[in-house]
Amino acid sequence: MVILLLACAGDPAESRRPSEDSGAEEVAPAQMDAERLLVRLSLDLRGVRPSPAELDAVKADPTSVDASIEAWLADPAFERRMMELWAVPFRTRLDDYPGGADVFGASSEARFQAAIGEEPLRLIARVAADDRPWTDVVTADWTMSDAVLAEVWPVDYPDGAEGWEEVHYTDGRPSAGVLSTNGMWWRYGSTIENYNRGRANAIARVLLCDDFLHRPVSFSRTNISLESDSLLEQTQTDPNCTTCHVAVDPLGSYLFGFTYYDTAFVSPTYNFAAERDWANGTTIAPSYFGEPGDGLRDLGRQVANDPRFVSCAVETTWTGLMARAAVGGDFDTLSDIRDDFILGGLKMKDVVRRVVADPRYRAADGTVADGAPYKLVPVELLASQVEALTGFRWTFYEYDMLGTDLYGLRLLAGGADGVYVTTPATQPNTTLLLVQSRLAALAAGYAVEHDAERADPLFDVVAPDVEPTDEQLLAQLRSLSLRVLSQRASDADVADAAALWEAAYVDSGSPSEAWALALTLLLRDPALLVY
Amino acid sequence: MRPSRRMLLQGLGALVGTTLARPARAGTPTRRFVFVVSDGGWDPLTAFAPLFDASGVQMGAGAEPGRVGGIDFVDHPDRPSVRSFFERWGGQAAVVNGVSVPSVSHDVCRLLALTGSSGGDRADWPTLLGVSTAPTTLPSLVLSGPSFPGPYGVASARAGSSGQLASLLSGRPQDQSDTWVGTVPRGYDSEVDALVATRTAALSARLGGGALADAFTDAHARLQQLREFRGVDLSSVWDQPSRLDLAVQVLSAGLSRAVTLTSDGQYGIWDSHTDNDDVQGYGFELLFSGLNDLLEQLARTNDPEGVPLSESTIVVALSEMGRTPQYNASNGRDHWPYTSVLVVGPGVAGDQVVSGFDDGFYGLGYDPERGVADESAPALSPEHVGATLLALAGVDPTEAIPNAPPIAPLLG
Amino acid sequence: MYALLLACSEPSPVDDAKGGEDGTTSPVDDGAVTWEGLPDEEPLPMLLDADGVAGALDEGFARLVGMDAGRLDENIAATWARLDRDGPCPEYYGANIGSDYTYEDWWSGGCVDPDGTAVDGYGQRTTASWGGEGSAGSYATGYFEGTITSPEGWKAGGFGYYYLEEARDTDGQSVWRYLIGELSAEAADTDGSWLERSAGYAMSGGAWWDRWGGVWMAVDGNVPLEGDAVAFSVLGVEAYSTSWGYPCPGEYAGTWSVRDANGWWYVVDFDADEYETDGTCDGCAEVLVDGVSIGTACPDLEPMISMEVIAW
Repeated sequence: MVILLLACAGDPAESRRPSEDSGAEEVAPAQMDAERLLVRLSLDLRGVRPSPAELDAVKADPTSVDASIEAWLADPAFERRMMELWAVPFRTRLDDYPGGADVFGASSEARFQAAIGEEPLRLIARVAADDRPWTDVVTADWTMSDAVLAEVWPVDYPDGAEGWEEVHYTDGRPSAGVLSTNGMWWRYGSTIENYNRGRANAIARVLLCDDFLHRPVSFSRTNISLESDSLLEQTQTDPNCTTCHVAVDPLGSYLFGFTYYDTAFVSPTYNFAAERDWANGTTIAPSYFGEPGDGLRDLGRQVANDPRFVSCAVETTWTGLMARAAVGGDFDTLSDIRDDFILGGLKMKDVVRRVVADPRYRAADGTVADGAPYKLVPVELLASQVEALTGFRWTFYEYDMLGTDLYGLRLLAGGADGVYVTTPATQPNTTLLLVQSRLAALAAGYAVEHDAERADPLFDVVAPDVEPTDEQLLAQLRSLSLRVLSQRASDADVADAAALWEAAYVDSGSPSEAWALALTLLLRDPALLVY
Repeated sequence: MRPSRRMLLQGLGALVGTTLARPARAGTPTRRFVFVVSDGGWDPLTAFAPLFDASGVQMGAGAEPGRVGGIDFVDHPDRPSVRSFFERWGGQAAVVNGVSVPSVSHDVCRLLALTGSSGGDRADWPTLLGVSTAPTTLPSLVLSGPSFPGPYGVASARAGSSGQLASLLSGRPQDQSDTWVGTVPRGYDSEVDALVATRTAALSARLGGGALADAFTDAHARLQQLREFRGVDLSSVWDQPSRLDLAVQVLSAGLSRAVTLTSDGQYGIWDSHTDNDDVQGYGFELLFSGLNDLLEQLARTNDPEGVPLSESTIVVALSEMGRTPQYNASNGRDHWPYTSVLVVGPGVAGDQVVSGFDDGFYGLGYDPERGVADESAPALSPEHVGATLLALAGVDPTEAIPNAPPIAPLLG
Repeated sequence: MYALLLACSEPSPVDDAKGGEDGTTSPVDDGAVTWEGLPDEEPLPMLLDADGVAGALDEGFARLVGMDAGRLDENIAATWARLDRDGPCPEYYGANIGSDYTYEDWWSGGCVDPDGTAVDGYGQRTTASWGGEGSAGSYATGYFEGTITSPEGWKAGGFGYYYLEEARDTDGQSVWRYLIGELSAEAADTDGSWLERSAGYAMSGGAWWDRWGGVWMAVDGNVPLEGDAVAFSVLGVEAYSTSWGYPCPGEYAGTWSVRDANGWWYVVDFDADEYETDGTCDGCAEVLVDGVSIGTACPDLEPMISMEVIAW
């Protein structure tokens, strides 16, 4: 058997219309059935698969999907999903921030590195999950911290707490939401002569969807002097330069309070004294696209007042949930969603509601123009659904193996590291399947070992350490298939899995080992990677 | 009756043993590629662009014009490997100067240099070369550095900065877990793989075919091949020499067609905003010393057919941007949107420098089809480089790169 | 078959997917509803008046230059200047280089000064002297990187370099001295320190003394403060003594700025040149906030211009 490979690589969301030559009738755009939609919603909104009961309920009453949406928007897990969605444009989830735990006195390198980049994301996610106005993202006087981050950040972290809590910086820095966070400015640094321009562009790219660096740098052969002083002047007068610099430089002037003097080039505290260093640098006073401002607090309000800030929030959410860039046909809808977003008081959940109700999100197949009928599960969703199913979270020396790259497998599993790879994969590759296979083996072993401790055991027909009857074996396999893959297994699949189970049991004499193998098979099913 | 393992294996065996499609074009030389990326922005004025007479350019201290055959370069007593490289390999080496990467951002320039576009949707040259030439298990393997597989994600794989791919393949995953997971059954990979193949086919049918379905099928088949791959330690990625060595081994074993890796630079840095001469001098000496070793190793290592790899492997050294022609206040050079590319290997018309820089260190206008400088033409772009590489691989570049012809003088 | 690989059309380019002609901005347009922005908000009140600014200027300069040799908790330059002193902490190890008149020494590691100040890091300096009948002199240049911890536990880690040149007469008395240098330091990590809330401080500048009372000082720098005024910054600041013949000797030049805890910057521009035409040489200048005057500050910076020894 020869399998044709790489026959035609194209956009997986590409719609396939009937051939014009075939004379076929126009096919009505097909929408997902309720069960399939429920799976997608459950993964997108709370990072886990629906339970069999939830699947049964929606199968009985497809209209109950809407009630599930509301319930899951209120689920604490929705906050984490928002964090993961915004992690893509923010690109702050690195695992090699400068300095490290040793330099700053944190108790865990892995957790410190993870927490630094998560700080601004958690702030955003909290705004979204709590139905706070989206403008809080850039005006909030609070931030988020966990216990390890609080060992280094000057924040009022509550005694005895462990997880992520709302806190306030105690060093008196101005309040401007994510624009005030260390996480943001440790990720986006600045050399002296860059004068925070790169940081200014980070604000524009992430919060305004206006990336200055996507404009081609057109160097016509004018006599551009590269002497430092005249170079500065040219950035403000030469037409080749001013297109960007007339906006970027004054935007950067707001950020000199994040000038760091120390040898690690970062510091946990705000540098009040350096706020006016723009006077010694570009000499350009802070202003936001022509509107003067005084400091970071002004900047936050100016960003919040910018219509692009609102539009960008809508577009980013759409892109994240559709797993593709916005295309021409989307923009009428996005404008409409934007209007509702404003009228509703800038609650991000309203945007999410609109996106997940859109026919393109609910497309069953290629008959929906610009639809997204099938999405590849991003690595963080692979991790969260497997953890929910089995209780297993893969860490090594505390590093999240599916969330980091130094020792972890994030890039190999199709994730983005925010430096070399800035967008997650939309197609599977060999290494993703390899990661899945190893994760499956580990998670299955763990699940079998610890199932008895769970409030909601995976093995709900027969305990894994008990030899099952033939009926129990098949019933358990069916139940597992529904739990793990959200699909009712075919007789053939169940028979295959049973044969595998039996083969392992014959070899080992241990039902637990046999179940570990059978569960491994389920967790290696490619259906786990598509939704 | 429950089936025995023997029955299980016999029944499933028919599903195993997929093969990859073979290229239909006969007589095309099989080309392999090693991409050595100096990530961070190298300084052409340290090695490739001897602009000692250019009014707008400050050359480094101690540098002198060098010439070997038809190649003019920047010579320096602290960088003997540059000269020795051109003396040894200049006959099949070409320098392309004045390549325009119209941005000053690392992120955008990486995309431009490797894909010809900042959109992020196109495949990079290693991926295109990997999928366009005779099939291998991992057509494009990235040992370190940037990668943009675009629509050909299934063809690209990363080895992991700590050799994670090797650990996944050969190690026991439970040895890399903080959590004890109980018993992980071993020895059933082939059975499970076969069942997964069945489920992959079912998924493909459910997806109604299409790119995503094909990708799953393809990736699964490659995974089987990868599991059977032996003889190369894919974890040797910790420094430039080990990565170069691994690249040779990977090509020799037929695992990949294109291998990408980064050069070390000085302490991993090429982005010399301070002390440019120190950083770049060290980096280029190390780079060219490594390239010398690489080419020698390719000459004495055979491909799967028993032919020295030097007869099929083209080495491409590049960086996402160049650096300013004048020093800043910290004796560094900042980002500059013109750079150089070095191409060495069989089929390359060597012993030449193509295009160049003007007195202001801008890329010269150049007509790639006629192979002459042309003031009315734009400077060469990374797309011209990519098209050239595809042409060297015997692939028609116009499908992937319709708007930029290959650089004719480089095609021997 | 491989011809098929590239025969299929590429995915539609997404460079323009965002819709804007230059592909840079989101084309999600205004639609029917306009985003009006946040409601107007009263700005936070200013915490300082002109007198408060004057006081902050005095305090800031004292902290920056270190007019009172003392502890890390009171001034900066004086504390770091101790690194250049000879023994016991840090302990320099040295060697002659090149000639009898050039000496290089260095220190590294950690130690504790008799007063309880701990030093950890490394430094190097080179000193040279010349002499003969009628004149003699010396220069010293050095750099250091390290952490200084005060007896109270307040820490500052930083980096600096300096160059000091001196001429002496035949009696060995100093004729003139010239000093330039730079210092950057990250702030304390101990609760309660006046540096606690800041990310550090930085200064660069130079000074000149001569035996005839000539003093010149120039400094750029930033330091944190505590209280309502949280930061002090000077840019292009110079001061001259009478013997320099400036139009208003003892007057200061340059931009001095103070920031309060609510984010207001108070800018005081001294410009000695103006006094020639202006006629008022009173050591005072307008305090401007966003270009609007809130009064006049008359800081007492005389101690600076009259001091004979610069701590650093």
